[in-house]
Amino acid sequence: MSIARIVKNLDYTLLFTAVAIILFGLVIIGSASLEFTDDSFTELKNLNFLLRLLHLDFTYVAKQFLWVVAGLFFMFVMIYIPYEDMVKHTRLLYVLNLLLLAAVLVKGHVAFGAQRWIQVGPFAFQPSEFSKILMIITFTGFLVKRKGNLNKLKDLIPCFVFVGTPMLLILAQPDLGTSMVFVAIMLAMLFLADARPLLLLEIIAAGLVLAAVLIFSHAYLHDTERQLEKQLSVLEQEKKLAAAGSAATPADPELERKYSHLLKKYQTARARHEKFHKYTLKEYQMTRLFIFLNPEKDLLGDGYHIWQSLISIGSGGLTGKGLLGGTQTHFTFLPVRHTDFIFSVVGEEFGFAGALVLLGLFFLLILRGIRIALEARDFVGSLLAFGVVAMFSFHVFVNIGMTCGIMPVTGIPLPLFSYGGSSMIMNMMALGLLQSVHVRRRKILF
Amino acid sequence: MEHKKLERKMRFFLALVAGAFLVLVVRLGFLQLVEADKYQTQARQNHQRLIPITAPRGDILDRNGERIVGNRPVYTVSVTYLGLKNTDRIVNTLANLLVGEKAYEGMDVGQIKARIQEKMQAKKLRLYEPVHVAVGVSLEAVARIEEHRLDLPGVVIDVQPVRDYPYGDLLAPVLGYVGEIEKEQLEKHKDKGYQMGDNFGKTGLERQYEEFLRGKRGARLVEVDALGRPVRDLGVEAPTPGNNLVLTVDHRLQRAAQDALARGIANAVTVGRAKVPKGKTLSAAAVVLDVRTGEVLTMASLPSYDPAVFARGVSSKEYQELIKTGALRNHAIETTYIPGSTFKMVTATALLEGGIVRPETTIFDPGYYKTQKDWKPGGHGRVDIRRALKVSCDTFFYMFGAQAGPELMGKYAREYGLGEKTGIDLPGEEQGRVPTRELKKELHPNDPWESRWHEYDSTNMAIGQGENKYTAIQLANYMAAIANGGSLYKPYIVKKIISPDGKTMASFAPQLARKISVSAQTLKIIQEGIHMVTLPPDGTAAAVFAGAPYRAAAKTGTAEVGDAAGNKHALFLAYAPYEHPEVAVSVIIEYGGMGSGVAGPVAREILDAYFILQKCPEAKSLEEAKGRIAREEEPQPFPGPETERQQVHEQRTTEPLRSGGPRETRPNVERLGGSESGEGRQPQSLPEQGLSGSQPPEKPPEQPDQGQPRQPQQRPPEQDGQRKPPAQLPPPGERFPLIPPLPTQQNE
Repeated sequence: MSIARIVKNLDYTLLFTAVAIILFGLVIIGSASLEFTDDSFTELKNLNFLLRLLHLDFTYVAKQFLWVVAGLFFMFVMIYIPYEDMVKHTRLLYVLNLLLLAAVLVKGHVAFGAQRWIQVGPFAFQPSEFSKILMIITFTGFLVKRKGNLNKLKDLIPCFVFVGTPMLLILAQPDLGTSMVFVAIMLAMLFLADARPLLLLEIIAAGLVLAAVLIFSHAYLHDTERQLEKQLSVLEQEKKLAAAGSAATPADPELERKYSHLLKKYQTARARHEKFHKYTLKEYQMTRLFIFLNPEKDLLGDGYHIWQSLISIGSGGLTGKGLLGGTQTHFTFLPVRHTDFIFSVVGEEFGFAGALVLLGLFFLLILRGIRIALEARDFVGSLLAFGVVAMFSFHVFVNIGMTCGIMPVTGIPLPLFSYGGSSMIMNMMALGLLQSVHVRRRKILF
Repeated sequence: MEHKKLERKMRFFLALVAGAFLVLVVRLGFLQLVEADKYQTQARQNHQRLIPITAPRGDILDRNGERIVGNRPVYTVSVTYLGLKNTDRIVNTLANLLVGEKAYEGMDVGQIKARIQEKMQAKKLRLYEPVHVAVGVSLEAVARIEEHRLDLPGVVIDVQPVRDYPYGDLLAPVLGYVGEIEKEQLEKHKDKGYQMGDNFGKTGLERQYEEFLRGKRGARLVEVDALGRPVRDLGVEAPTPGNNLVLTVDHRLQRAAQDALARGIANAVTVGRAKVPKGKTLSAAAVVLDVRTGEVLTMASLPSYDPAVFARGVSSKEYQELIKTGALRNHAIETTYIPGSTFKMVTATALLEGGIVRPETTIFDPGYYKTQKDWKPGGHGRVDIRRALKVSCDTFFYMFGAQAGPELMGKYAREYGLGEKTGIDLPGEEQGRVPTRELKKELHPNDPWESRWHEYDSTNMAIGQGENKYTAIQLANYMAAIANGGSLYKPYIVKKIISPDGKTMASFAPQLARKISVSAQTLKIIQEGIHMVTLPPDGTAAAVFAGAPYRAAAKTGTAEVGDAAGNKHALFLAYAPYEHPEVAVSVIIEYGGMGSGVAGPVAREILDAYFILQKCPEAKSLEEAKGRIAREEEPQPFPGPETERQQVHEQRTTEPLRSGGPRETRPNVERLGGSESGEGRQPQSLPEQGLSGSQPPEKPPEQPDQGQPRQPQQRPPEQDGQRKPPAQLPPPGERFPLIPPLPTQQNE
């Protein structure tokens, strides 16, 4: 396909929506990374919006711009290569995916308690991001052959293994958020590939039940251990008092027996609790994952991120505090504000109105994606496009949900918006994939 | 068909996404529209801190406007709780930088750290208010902390006023001290706007006038970042300093009294042969009242202390020590002492008013009454009531006190304000007690003998022993009432309250508690009797006032404590000048041993100081006043006929005693007194002064300093001897019986 034809057939609504999101993102990144350290910021109040743009912190904006330019290149590559050709190399891409993810585990470096990056020259790059798009492409290849043959659980098991293998590698980093993205993409694509909806629903239900069991059994184990620990310490105190009170007389045998009994009980409870964490999530992961349900339990510890994010968004009100007017942002109360919690900055500085605009842009993006999936020339195209749409939707919902306290904090970035090279390039590649499907759409609509 | 299916699925998916977005929009709407106010408040609390500015407390000035208590700015280190995981490291660094600071004297890093953490724990519930960690930090420590600024987020250095005491221990137990408000006090005074960490007067004047002294806290609103580092000042509300107190106390006289009292305590052991139990610190008190107003010119209580230890943060060891020695206690009003013979004016009043004796009633004292002995073996011979006071004759008072009984004596004790609070404007005043039959019953509920009143109780009471217990302020006020002819004033120590801009907020006038119902004639006899105490040859305070340039009335007291070692309190009451009384003094030295030999010289020193300062009102200190007067008086051309005066006094004492008897000698005495005290005497006290002084009274007293008006060599030689300090010997007669007849018996 010639370049001219590609240019002529691009979905410009999609393109400009994406450009709008990216530009908005650049402004917000510039605002989010600006910290006030003296009172010079008071002068900003007198400036109008355009002049304020000049006072952004351009360090991250410039970098992000670089990633966008790189992303444009990769996007074009994705458009240029016919998507069928990509799907043909499913096996190769799948192995590449596994290799990249394994490389992270072997020689990736650790940040924020997880191993996610590999250093390539001057760039730290995050294979788990790229594995998402690789997953979409390879799973399309995998599913196309099985379409209409996915009615029983038995039929789905190969799919689970196919998705599960790279997912396990990601979980090992550990990166729960990206793993959940995989699950979402898989379920959506299975749905499109005519898997029995009820079966999918059952799987989702089973997953939810599993999660609930996990929470409640952990809560039970955790609480029993804490309770026994408390009882034990009380008894210990009593023992000490008794020992101090009557050094000459032998210790009370009743107390001694009670103590050893309780100690045994405590030790078993503790062992069970530890075993639970050994096979499932770690204690701190559990806490972080579910703190959003009640951030007030530990406002200055695990609940701090959510608490500050809620204050940022809530204090924005209807119209926000204006660009560079966010006290939560610029006095650095809001953590990770240019990446995962960037939406909170939008909420604080542009208020409900700004948040609605951003949500609208994303909705438009998703709408265009669905249209592209619908107009695809073949099922491969539909599946690819739908995978990308599902990925975007899940990201947007989970990220924004996280900033406003209805989703767990899992470190999922806001696509095309959060600062981050790997994420930006991957998302633009995903857009390229959509455009590729669009460029090669069916010409006649009915 | 295939496409239709796809379309259906897409529509379903779209509905799902729309639903999800709707959830987000609803959630955002809830946060940003419904709860916006709540979060806006929280955001403001996040980035704005109201940092309180401590108001300087009001100054405390003496009657001449000299500052006794002020404020001085010191560096304070505060910590704001940041909710950071590395708070522990910050505290550690800070503790290291504060080693060797006065607030943490003698503590190692671990202890300082523990102390800081304890303080922060106490404030745990008020997250964003700064916690004072160290007050009065040295400049070096401030520099050290500034160097480590970046390692110490949340650590703030501030300047804060603390109490400053330019005169050290002067008046300390009366002033009281200031400390951080305690929980109970905070609860009690919450509605007055107190907060944790505020200063609060704990004792003395600081406590009594807390609401005037405290001032109003200011605040600084500061914008801070997430690490608590101030980014911008949003505004300052300046604190309002507290109101100043102007006392009735003269700091120079106070100093003289405190020093004299300290020497008195030293004499307690050397002269008074006090047997001080181990671990006990002797207390002493002296009060000087203006008899015309009830103004407290001096209130000394020893041991004293430097309240500055509280300003810089007292260690618990220091505090325990202060408690143990009783330094925090104002012994002048909070401790009661057995009055001993200083009570005899009450007894004398009761006897005269009750008609038990007449002014001319004379007894022959053989040295004992029934089983109770006089302090002087062999007795005083023929004694009437004036002489009984003069020589402190126990037998006289035993004999008639037994007749008077507790009701009559008690009535006049109370009449003079003994056994009741004087109502001075200081907290913690003790009431003391007058012996009564009921009191005995109360004290010995299970002893059928002791619970009844016996004759020896009356005789003991008559000489100020037994259950008599009074404070120094009560005794001074009682002496003042005798001196001024029966007006019992309510003593007061604060003269005026002045706002920081100099306006008078309140001023306190003399308050007459009551006119005591004792006849003028009786008072006159008592005045004469106690004036005779100061006269040779056998007045018990004759030696104390030997060579005094003024005439006085006084009464000694040596009160048996009743302990195994036979310790006695030394007491001395006096007023002067005898003719036109101005001041009354009470001096009490615990275990002082002898009223005349130990407490007396203290009272003399105080009275001397008073008259010197009267002459030289603008001197900065007593020493300066003395120096000026010495220079001024050198050319004194008038001879001081000391011998002549003594003759007059001798003559008077040997004269038959009747009321108004001394009248005829009086003008003579006055003239002589005027001449000997030289010029510069207060006009109202000696109107005839014009006769004796060659210097015009309107001349400012500084004059002699510059131009020498008279030649020093003109001074008659006998003047020298006259100004020699009085010999501080115990009076010839005063000593104690070897075997007291009864355990509670007191002799003098």
